[in-house]
Amino acid sequence: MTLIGKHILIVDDESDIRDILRDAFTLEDAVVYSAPNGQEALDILGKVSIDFVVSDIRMPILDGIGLLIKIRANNAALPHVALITGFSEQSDAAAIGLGAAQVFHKPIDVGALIDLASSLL
Amino acid sequence: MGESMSTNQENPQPVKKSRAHRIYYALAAFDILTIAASVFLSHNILVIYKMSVMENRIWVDRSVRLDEIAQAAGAINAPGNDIFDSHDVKLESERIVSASAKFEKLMNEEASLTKTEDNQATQSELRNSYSKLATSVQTMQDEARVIFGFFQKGDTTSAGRRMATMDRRYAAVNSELSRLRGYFAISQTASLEREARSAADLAKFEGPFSAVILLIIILVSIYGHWIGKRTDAANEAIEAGRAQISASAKMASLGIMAAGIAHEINNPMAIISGRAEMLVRYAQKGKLTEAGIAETAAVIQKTCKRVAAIISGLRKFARDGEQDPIEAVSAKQIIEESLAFCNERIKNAGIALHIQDDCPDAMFAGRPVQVSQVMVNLLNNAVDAISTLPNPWIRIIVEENSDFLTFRFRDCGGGIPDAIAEKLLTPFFTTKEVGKGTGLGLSMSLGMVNRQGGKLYLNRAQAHTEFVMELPKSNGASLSTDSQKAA
Repeated sequence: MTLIGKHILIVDDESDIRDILRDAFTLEDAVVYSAPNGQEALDILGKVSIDFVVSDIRMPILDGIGLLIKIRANNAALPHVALITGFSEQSDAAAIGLGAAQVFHKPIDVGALIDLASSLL
Repeated sequence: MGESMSTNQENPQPVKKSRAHRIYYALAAFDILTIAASVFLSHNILVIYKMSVMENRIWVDRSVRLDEIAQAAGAINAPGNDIFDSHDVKLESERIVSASAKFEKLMNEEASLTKTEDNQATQSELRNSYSKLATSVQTMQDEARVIFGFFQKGDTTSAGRRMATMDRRYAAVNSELSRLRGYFAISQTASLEREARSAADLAKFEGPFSAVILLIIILVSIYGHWIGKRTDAANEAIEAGRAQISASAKMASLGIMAAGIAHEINNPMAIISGRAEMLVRYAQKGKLTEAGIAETAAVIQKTCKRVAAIISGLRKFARDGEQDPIEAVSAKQIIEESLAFCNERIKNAGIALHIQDDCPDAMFAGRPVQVSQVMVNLLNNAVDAISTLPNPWIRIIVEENSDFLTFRFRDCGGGIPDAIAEKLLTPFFTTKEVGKGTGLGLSMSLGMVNRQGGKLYLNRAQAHTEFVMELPKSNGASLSTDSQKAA
């Protein structure tokens, strides 16, 4: 029930959002990686063992849904993926159907996101 | 909007239209009838005129012939007198024979014309008179021969006595000629009166015709006035419709932007909210530092400014802008302001955006709101066109020459087919599916750019799809722009 030492990957094209989430997980003593889009996130996932991915849905090059599908194509269970959305045409249920643990809506409840990660890891 | 649409549907336009057609056809038929009758009337008057001319010519010919007859009669009379000077019986006899032959020839010609005389009474009178003339001339001729007989015998005294008889015979001839002239005058007058009566009969129609023509003119004037009013009303309705469609197009354009703006505002809100929550979390863990607070406050402040800029831009964009004064505008700034409305959309479509600004300090003279609207419209069109293509990209290129500032909006599309390109800037032309496009964006953009002294066109020379907007360069200082903005 702790995030100490856990590998967290933050994926968002908005650097300020990435900074907030990085600070939030760093405060919990997790090891944080970040990427501005799904494609770069996949590169990190290929190199590092990640426990938990927090990804925005709307991003250039490869979006959050695309990233989720690719992650689940490799492993049906791991890592856990939480998605963040502002206004998504994709319903939460559909995202969960594709293998997301939960969908968070902006503005993000950082406490709830940390709690989810803690409960899963 | 819904109410006004239903009102338009209840407007009984088709009924009015069909009535207008009937009136038009009735007036046209009436017009044709009147013209046909006028042509018929003119034709008849012309026939009467021709007949009158012919009649006059005949009577002139006959008068001339009667004069010739009179001359011939005089020529028959002359030898009877001239013999007293010439004493040449043979010569004077020959003159009488010659004159007599001419007289008979003329009389025969005249007799044939007398037969064609319509009026039987006149024909009889003329024949009688000619007969008397012929007899008188013959008697005169006989008398001349008697005188010649006395001369042959050398009895000039008896010949001189017969001169008085000869003169009486010639007076009788002249008397018949005068009577004939009188008949001619009466006959000519009678025929001219007949034609005048025919003309007068036709002239009776002049009044009714004039009245009908006047009526047609009045009806056509009333119809014209009515049509004019209807046209004005229709034009007003078209103008209202155009304004409504223009407003709808703008609403649609605003709708597309609203989605983008929602994201643009939602992210800053997430940042502010996230930062605030992090302050609490740091405090809970006892790790809140002054530097951390300052940093968070700076991020929040910066993010609030970002939202304020979006809202300010939106307020400007939603305005009409048509009445705005032409002012000096920074090319760099207008691109940034325009992208605030569609950046998110471009990003979400996975489109790479490149800006190639070779003249970052360049200014143009224009209406910033409208130029921004045109840019957003061109960028939105590009997004619609290329979002499904592999590795999509949009490039905005700014170039400067002596008079114009050129903005090129190039995308990875392979150009626009000629058939479509020709219609591209016409109102209501769209290749987008029903409900996705009004076909007004480019035509409205063209109008806006033209009214600012600029040009907007598709660059067909470029292999990729490229729209070019040229705006007059500004030599005004940017300070004036700022002061106008502040105002």
